[in-house]
Amino acid sequence: MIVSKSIFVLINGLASGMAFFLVAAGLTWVFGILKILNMAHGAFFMIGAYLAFSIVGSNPESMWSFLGAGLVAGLVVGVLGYLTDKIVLTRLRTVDYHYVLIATFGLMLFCEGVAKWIWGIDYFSVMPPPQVDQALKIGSSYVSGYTLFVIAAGLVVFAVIDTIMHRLWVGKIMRAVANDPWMAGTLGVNVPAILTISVIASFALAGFAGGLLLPNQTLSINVGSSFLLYSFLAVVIGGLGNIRGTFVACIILGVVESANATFMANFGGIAVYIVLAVFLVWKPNGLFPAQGST
Amino acid sequence: MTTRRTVLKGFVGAAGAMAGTRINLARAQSGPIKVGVMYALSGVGAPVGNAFWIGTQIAAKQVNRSGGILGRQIELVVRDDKYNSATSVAAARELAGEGINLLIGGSQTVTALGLAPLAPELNAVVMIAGAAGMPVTHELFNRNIFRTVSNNYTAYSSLGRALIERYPQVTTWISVAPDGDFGRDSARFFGDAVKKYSVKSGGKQATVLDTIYAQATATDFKTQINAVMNTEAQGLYLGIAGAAQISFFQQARSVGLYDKIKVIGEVGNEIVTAKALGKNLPKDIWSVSYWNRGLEPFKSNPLSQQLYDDYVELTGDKSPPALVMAGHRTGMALFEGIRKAKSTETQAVIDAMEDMKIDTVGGPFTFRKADHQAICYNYFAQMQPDDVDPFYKVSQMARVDSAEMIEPATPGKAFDPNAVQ
Repeated sequence: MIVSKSIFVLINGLASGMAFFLVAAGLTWVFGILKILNMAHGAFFMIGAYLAFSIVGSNPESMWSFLGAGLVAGLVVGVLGYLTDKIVLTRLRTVDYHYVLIATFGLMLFCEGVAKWIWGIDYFSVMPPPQVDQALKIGSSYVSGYTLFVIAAGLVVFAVIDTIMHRLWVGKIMRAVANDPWMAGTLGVNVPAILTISVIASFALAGFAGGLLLPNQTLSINVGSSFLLYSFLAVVIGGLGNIRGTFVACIILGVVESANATFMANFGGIAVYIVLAVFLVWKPNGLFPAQGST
Repeated sequence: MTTRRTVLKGFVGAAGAMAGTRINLARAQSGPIKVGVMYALSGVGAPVGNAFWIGTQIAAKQVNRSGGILGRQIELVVRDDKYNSATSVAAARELAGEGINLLIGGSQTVTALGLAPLAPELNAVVMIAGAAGMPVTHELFNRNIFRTVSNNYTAYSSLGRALIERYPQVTTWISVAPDGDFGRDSARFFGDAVKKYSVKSGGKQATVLDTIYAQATATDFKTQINAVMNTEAQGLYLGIAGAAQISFFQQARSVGLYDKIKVIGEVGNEIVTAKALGKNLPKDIWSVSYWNRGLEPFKSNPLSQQLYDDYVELTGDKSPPALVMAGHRTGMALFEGIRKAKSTETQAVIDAMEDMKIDTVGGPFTFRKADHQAICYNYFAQMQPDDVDPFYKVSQMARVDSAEMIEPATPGKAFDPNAVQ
């Protein structure tokens, strides 16, 4: 029984962890490059989810239409990211972080108001595409095909981002800008353009995640906040701005949350905060601290 | 010795007293009757709060259309309680500060628990519109509050009874409920009623398995769903409400729970869930409900048709949520209390409502004098998926008279579930 439950904890934990990562990837990306903690990230995730729903409806006819809706949502939210960068974020690059938090919090409220105006306050739901809309039984564990799809999606997104950051020239330039924007600028790098590209990529990831994670959650104005808390925790545990650290932290949080719900159901949610406290004491700069951290 | 200072004090005191009298007279006798309304109009409670608000607006509109009360129109002054106890209390204080002593609020237990103890201090009548938590009419009871819905015990034991009487072949039941007072209580009341009425119906006592708990606002229910899938349960009570309930069903459907469970009773999302899931709704789900104009006993009730017509006129929508009726009933109960009291003064309205009987969209309605608990019919809507737009249908309404299910009144004392076994 314990073995069977442990298998379920691992599968479910991985799925939760990958869902957290899909949201946290954009959050940690923009923090790593711009040093901006974007409180509105969940709101743009929510907008991506509504856009994908508007395209694909409640019952996607195929995997292609489902993925296509997610990609379109990511592109549109990426464009919104460009506009947000030009109108809001560029003005925040030289101010104290308190102003950044207040400004992005205001942006979140603005986004929620606009979404409420467009889509109303009713709840909506979206089912998985037929290819992954089936139940699987592994031992005594019941797992949906969509759960495995989320795990795969998280792994693919991580592989793509990690390759861009560590194997491609554009990623290396981004890391150079993140480490020392002045020096990167003197070497001929167009720093403002790199910063804008980073914002667009971060927002596009949020929108794409909104489309991919639709079948797991009720679609409402508050859908972003449910993922955002865990994403913030993962970014903190992983090391602010570090994609690999965030990825590992998301898996840890997902498995811990799943084990908590399975083995300590009467103390729901408490284990995640214990883990956070342990990491803050043990690794105050995160699992993969940025260069220069002590 | 009378001095100029003494005389001056006397004048000031007399002027103050006269001014106060004048203000009271003005409040009591002129202009529209102002009623303060506090519902959750934004945030996670907004779908519920807005439905209540629409119902209460319609009640005021209907009264005003027929000439008002005591020759005066009803004017609603609304505040958003944001589904938050502190905000609700602040709103009540603000409204009382504006001289409004007739208040409607508590669309959810969290806000009602803040409002109930405040009512005597504000010298206000507070109508609790939707909160089912037991403390409101037990340990927190005071004469200023009136609850216009059934409480937890009555509502969920009635749901258990309604289901086991209709599904005697379902012999094993389980509950998934939020880990809190409300969730634990409602699951227990449901399970106790299933056991009790399975025997009363002439069958063998049904088995009720241990309740599985989850966080009320959780987003991931796969662990709880997996646990249900590994039991023998054929019937389920789901105490998870709001958006979380829809997430539960999305995740449950994808692992085959719909095929395993024959019937589900749910806490009261009703067509909020049905609208969101459409044809992906479980095949047989019963919801705590209030109203469905297309089905009996509402179909033949002219009050119901009038409520529907006014709803469509106000909103343009043709699928009213059942909670509209609860907001309407709350408004109507207060307005009838004012009419009966022939006054808007707090004590007069309280006295009038304590033994008041009115006809509502949901049938006869009265308050139990001892604890101001509503006694009315409890309705349950059977919802099923459908092939045509809106892709769900309400197939039938069941009802249980709360007079048959209500617990003994113990105002001022906590409810003891063991005392009603």
